[in-house]
Amino acid sequence: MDPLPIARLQFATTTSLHFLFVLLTLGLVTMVAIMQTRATIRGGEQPHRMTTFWGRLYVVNYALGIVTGIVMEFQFGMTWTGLSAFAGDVFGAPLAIETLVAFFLESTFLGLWIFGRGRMNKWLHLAVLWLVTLTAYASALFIMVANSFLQNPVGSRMENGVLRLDDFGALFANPALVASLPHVLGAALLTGGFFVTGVSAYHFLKRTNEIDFFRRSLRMGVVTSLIGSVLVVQAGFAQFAEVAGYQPDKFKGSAGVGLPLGMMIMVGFFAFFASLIGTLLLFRDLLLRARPVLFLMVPGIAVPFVAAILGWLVREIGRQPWLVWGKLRTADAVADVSGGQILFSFTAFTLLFVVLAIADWVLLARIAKRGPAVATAETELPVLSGV
Amino acid sequence: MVTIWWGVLGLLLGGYFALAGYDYGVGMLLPALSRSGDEAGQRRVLGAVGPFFLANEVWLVAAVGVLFGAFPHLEGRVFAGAYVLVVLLLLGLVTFSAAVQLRSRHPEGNRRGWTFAITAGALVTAVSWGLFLGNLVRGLPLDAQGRPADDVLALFNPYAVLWGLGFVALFCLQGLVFLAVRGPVEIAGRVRRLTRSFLAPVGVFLVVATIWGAFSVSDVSWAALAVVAIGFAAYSTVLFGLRRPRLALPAVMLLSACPALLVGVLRFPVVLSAPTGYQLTVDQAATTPDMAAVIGWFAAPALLVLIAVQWLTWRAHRRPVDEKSLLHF
Repeated sequence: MDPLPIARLQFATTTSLHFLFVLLTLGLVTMVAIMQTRATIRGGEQPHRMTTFWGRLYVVNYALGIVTGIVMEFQFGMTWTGLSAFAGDVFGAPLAIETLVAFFLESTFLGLWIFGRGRMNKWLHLAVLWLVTLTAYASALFIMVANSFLQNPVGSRMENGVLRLDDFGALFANPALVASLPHVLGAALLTGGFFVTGVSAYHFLKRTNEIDFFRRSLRMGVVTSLIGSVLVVQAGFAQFAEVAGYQPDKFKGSAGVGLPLGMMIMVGFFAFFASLIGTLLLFRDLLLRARPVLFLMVPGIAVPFVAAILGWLVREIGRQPWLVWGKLRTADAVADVSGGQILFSFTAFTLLFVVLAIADWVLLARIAKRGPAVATAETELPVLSGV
Repeated sequence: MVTIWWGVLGLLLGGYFALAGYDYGVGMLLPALSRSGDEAGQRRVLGAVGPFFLANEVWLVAAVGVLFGAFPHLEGRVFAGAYVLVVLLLLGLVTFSAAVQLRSRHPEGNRRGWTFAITAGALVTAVSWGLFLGNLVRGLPLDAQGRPADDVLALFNPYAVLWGLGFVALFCLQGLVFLAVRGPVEIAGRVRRLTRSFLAPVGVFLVVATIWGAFSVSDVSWAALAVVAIGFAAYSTVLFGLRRPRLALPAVMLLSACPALLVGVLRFPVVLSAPTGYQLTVDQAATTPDMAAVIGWFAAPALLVLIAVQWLTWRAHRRPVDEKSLLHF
């Protein structure tokens, strides 16, 4: 059995799932941090409750991001041994820095935030959440640096058949990075914005009593979506000029890339116009009475996720058959592990991740539906973290 | 310079086992520590680990990051060479970590499935780590070019199986000693009884693994003997210090770090060797000096911040779980 297609499928499945969770993590943590900043500066009941409720959803989503991330990190050594042997001296650094500086610190600060609630000075507690946010963005930066290097191996030279680093700074000025990083960050804000908007819309459709709570959340969700969609569309088109420079034939005559690309652009424009209409309807709270619009917003939660997967496919399928563009073929990087073993791991990981992802989404949906009110069963236990 | 990075890798892996080991121990023993119907009791047991959980698990992530960044030519050989074991390890880790984080998130949710996933995930993780490290001591089944020999069963050799079982006992003991310090008062008696029953298996594992290892491993260095001696000293401290849990806890954490440290000193400067004669030295495995320096500029401050923050977390949550403790997991 040929291990190559299974190893590729395994990496694609793990990465796609990972991407779905971290995208929401990144968008949601930014919004929760802004909520907590408001609660800390101005005080007041509502911003504080918003931090708790949306923070609870953030924490549930975070769990799957971290576990899928661990499996991705290991896979470089398990199935793509040729990559570390050939480009490890360049590619390894951003990846190592990502795990040390970003992933490691992010989790530690998140633990501090969860368990520091009500125990810590409120300004310090706020600072901890901003550190979580900052390290999450640092994570995105270093991963995109690593990925952009694979797309366009700058700052390095060939020496005795392996790549050596010339200029670490060049990795950050990579044309494959400059437009794609804001594109991904815009997508994260869009995902977070659509999520908060959709959940709030659901509660208005159910005629919630928490009108003030969800009115504030909805406003924030819609405005974040607008900012995210502008960024995503603008940076998305800016990429065409960059890609033409380093992968000139990427979009020529390949249906594998063209179809997801066209769909992504359509979804992007749809998201932009939807956010724009939503923002206009915020005038005098017209949106709260526009039930058909609210009705569309609930399934709309899924839209940015679909676009994100399409975008991921465009970027990754488009560079095949190269793993490191022009230098290392994907087929030459796969490990000498038998196809049977990789099939076993692919099946096992996929089953486990699908079960966990569904469980996580069901949990998210149930917590979201329950709303910000605390159930009585919860108050019987000792002190709970609240998130 | 390469030696320093090998030490950093050892520090991160040792830190991981010293900290996360008790997470797995508590996870494996969760059904034995509180009855399945006693939700508040189970929450308090998990709550003992709670404040440290996220911080403990990511030591592994950082260690693998350093392995990839500083020793790119080793990572692929090791993970591909022990492919099935790494897969098992990840399946266990993912199940355990996700289940701990998600179990208690919905107040009316049914938690039996999650509790089972915590226990099973922790068990698979412990066994896989033992099998993996046991194989590293003995030498991975690689061919003469360092490619994985297509022989899955070779990874489940008797010596590695001994390590797999030994790790279960070791992590359970570690979890129990941890609970003696931080666990809720109501389970103190049960924790004491269980601790006594895990002392003997751990002792047997240490003695048998050492003697058997001495016969099957060639060219044992003085440093390796020193690590073994430290391991036995730590075990004796646990054995005779049970009445003083605050002394026994650091000792058992050190004991859990010892197997990884032993592999680290046994596999230096030849970091990978196989019975077929394949050898990879630490210099061949390492990245270029300027790349290592770049990683160092980021790693050093990050590690300092981290150790400070985790130390403060320990200080803040050093008392046993009681009515006023914050529960999350």
